[in-house]
Amino acid sequence: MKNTKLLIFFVTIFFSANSYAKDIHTNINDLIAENQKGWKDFKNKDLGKFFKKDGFKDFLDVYPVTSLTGGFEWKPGMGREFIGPLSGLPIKAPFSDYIPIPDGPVLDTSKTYRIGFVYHWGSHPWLISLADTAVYEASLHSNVEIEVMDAEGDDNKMGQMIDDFIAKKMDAIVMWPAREAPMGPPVERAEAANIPVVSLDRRAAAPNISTEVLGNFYANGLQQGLFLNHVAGGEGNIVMNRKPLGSTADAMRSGAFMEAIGDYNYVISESMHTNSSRQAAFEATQAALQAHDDVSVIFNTGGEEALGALDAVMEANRLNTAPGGKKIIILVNDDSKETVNEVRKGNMDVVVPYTPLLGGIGVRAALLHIGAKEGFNQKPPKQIITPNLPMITKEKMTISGITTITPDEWPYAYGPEAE
Amino acid sequence: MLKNIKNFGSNINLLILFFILFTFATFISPAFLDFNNIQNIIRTVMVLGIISFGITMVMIVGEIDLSVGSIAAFSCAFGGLFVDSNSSLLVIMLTLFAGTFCGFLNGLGVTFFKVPSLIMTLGTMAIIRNAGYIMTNGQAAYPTKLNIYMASAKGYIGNIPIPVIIFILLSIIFTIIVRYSTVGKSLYVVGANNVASMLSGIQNNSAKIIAFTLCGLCCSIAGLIQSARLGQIDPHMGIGWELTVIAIAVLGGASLYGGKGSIEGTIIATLIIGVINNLLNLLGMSNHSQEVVIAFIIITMVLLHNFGKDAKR
Amino acid sequence: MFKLINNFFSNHFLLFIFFVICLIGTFTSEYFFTVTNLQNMIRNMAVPGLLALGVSFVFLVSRIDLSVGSLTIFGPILAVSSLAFLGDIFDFKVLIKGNQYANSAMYLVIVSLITGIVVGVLNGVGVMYGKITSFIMTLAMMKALWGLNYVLTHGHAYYLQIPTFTWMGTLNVFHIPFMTWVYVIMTIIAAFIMRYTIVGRRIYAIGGDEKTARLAGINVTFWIISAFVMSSFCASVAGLLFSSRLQTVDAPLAVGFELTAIAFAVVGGVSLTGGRGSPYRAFLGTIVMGALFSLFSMWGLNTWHRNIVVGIIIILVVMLDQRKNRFGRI
Repeated sequence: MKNTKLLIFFVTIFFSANSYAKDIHTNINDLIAENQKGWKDFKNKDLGKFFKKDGFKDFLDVYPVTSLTGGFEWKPGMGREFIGPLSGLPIKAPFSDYIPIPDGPVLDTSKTYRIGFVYHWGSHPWLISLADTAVYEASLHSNVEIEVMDAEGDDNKMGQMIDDFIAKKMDAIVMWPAREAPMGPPVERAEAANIPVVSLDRRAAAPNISTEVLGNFYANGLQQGLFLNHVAGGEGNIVMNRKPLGSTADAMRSGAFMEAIGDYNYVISESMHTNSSRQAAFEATQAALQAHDDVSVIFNTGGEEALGALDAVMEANRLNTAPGGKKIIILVNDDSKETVNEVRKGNMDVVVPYTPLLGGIGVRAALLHIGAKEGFNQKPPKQIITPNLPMITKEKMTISGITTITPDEWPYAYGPEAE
Repeated sequence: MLKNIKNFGSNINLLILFFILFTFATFISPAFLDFNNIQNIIRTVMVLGIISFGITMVMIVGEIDLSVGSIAAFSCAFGGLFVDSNSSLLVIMLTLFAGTFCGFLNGLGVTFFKVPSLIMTLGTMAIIRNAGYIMTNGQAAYPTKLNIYMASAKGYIGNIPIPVIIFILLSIIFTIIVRYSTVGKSLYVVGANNVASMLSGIQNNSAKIIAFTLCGLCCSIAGLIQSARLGQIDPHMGIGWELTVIAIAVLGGASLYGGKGSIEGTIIATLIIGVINNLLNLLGMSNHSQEVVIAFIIITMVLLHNFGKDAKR
Repeated sequence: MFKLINNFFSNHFLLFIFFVICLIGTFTSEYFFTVTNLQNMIRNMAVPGLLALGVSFVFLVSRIDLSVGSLTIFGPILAVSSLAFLGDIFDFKVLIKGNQYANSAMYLVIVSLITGIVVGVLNGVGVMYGKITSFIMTLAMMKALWGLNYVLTHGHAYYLQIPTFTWMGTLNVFHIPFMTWVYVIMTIIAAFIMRYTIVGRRIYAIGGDEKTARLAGINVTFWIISAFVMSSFCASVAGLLFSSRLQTVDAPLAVGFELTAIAFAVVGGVSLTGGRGSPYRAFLGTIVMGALFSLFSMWGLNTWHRNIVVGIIIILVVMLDQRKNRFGRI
């Protein structure tokens, strides 16, 4: 009898350990699939109006929600550790084994392959980590050179930089577009010039783009919503710190969040676009706190915004001023070391990881495209999904079948050390 | 001397405007008079206010400084390089030194190299900021472990936040310097009558250099407090500040032709902008709509000034 | 004889520098002297060049115009949002999929140009009748337009799916981009106006000595307002070209364009204190800086280094040109 029980015990452990990661990715995909089934009106009419106004559905409906390329299964603990070449910070990159290319010279070893990498705001911890992984991947192959250009938030400049890459006849371009539409024409020009383009994280409005490496935006917003329902019981006044309107990052997260909470009694007190800036989020949150004295939730679509919002809350001494003397619930995505630490300290309530450590995947995809052109290998898929990641909370919980992770169990947080 | 008294006259107008706004705000929104709210007004606006002191001095002496935001960013970034030394004092001293030095460079360019200040500071605006980027590789530094540094924005003495105390202290110091000291008076002389004062070239040059240097110092102080506030020293800080502080100074009575303006006027103007900003926030107006309102107010104030009782031009 | 050489050299010094830069580019980068890059280079010059051209008119009358940056995108934004607004009232569809504008190009062009003229008149009136320093007046205008850009777009971008515009943005006539043609033609027209018509004579007179010009019976008010109108008009045209290339209008775009425009004009030798300069000088400044930017791109230089060099150049150019450096009105 005892032996059977032990056997059952071990079998359960064995299966749950193995099915851990698969469950997360598939579990969240299943939850998302339910929402994508069709348009159903929210039970909360006001939230429904808000949802329609910002056109979220257009983004949510077309966002690919599929299984991982090549049957990859991600488990916590995978990935390489290195020092980021640009930031000098230690990084553990979770997806280094996804769509792998062996170290050392690639493709035609007598040629040098030049990759143009263009993004914005290397001053932002998330973005420099993105660039770090891209540059690191390039450094693993001695015949690959990468040129990193920072367009500093100017769409026009990024377009010009891509044109420059075309003029310099780069072999491939890897990019991070801040906004979808302005990047359409330049990418199309590059593709027309036979230069494969790979976009990372956000999308560009270019039908002919070679590959898009997509993060789990949907899982971000969704989990933040599920968490909120779990702890707030369906009521609250929400202040939102969002990314630029018209960006994938904003529409997907905010939209998915709304889908999760749409049937409950929440009120959106403020919806602000603070565009990845700690400073802007600080000021905007401060203003929102002044205008509303009953704020009970702050929803953030980014780490910097969240930190700025938290600073505003602390400076105004409002951490525990939600109705009923409760703590203001702070929802965050972007697992920077700082935000994860705030969860540990109990200031922030949940951090849904959105790892920037995707640059390597992009560079590998780009190299595979070059390889396909030269006849070395098959083309990689047009859309590469990254694994869904579970949310991080101070105490372990199970929400809608998702088991959360505690801060100490998450080694992949990026950015500078926090106190 | 007479000019100072004239400035005071227009300051009365400003004070009246301020009190009207204040009363209006109290009626519109009960949240306004809340102690926390008043504190927030001062905190929000004081960073720009401190820089406005500096730029007022530069404008009194007949010049302009577009590099203020860049100086704030660079000086803090420079200090930020030494965050790992764990010495608040070192970082603070280096920050202030860097800002003062940048201001001094501006002064040199304008006086000895005779570059018009618009061009000089347009150039240094780009040079100084990007030097900061190169120095830090565009990365922010995090001073959260430096207690004294952080206290400049987050600390309290008794019930009063330290930044407010700093603001009040600087207001007093600069008012005394500009209004009552020989140096201060020479600023007006040089600004008002550039041709005549060129005869005594030394006074002309030294007044301008002092104005620019002090302005640089103000920028570094402001930047420091802002960094402490966010717990992050961002080399990108301060973009766009220059035009806002010039607007504040002009609202406070300063003129781009020189010879006019006062620290008191700037203080009141700063508070006015702060109150308006706060009021519009409480009314739910977005930051961008506020820009339009503020632009409108500036034009109105300048028109009133031009066509009011003591306009002479 | 010496004076002749001196004059020739100083008049065409910048042209010389332009060719030197191109030469350096050709020798240091295998991609500089390629059709693609040269096209990029001259295309990128068009928008800032037009802004520099406009701003130089205002400089010539000893004023300054800071509003050109925000005005650049304000025109198209106003056009699109006003049509959308009318569409809501009169029930016709203007925007598809939330924020894609696929409607009349004509409307966009007309509204942008008219807006430019109106803004120019406002600036001029504020300066001449309101007696507001041009710095403050155009600064306030810049802030107002910047704020309005956000308010009118509600923070969205508007994506322009207009065939005419796409064509404008990508057309090359004799391998020269459409935008560059517009820029060059406008510069030629401007140069002609300034040199051979009464407009030029009046503006130079005012720039030389405003008091004397007034005493001589010149309608200074009218001409200064005209200078502002010319500046804003150039900005509107620049805005149309800009949005045709990017196929987007969005509030955060075109930040800092006014300072670039000023820099280009100053490098070309247009004096801030009035009376010295010309459309040709603005053009020279533009091509030199444009070539320099292209060179830096080919070298893969980060924007930071480039901006520092630009800052140094601006200061040096003005420092070396100390002839008319008396304190001037802004």
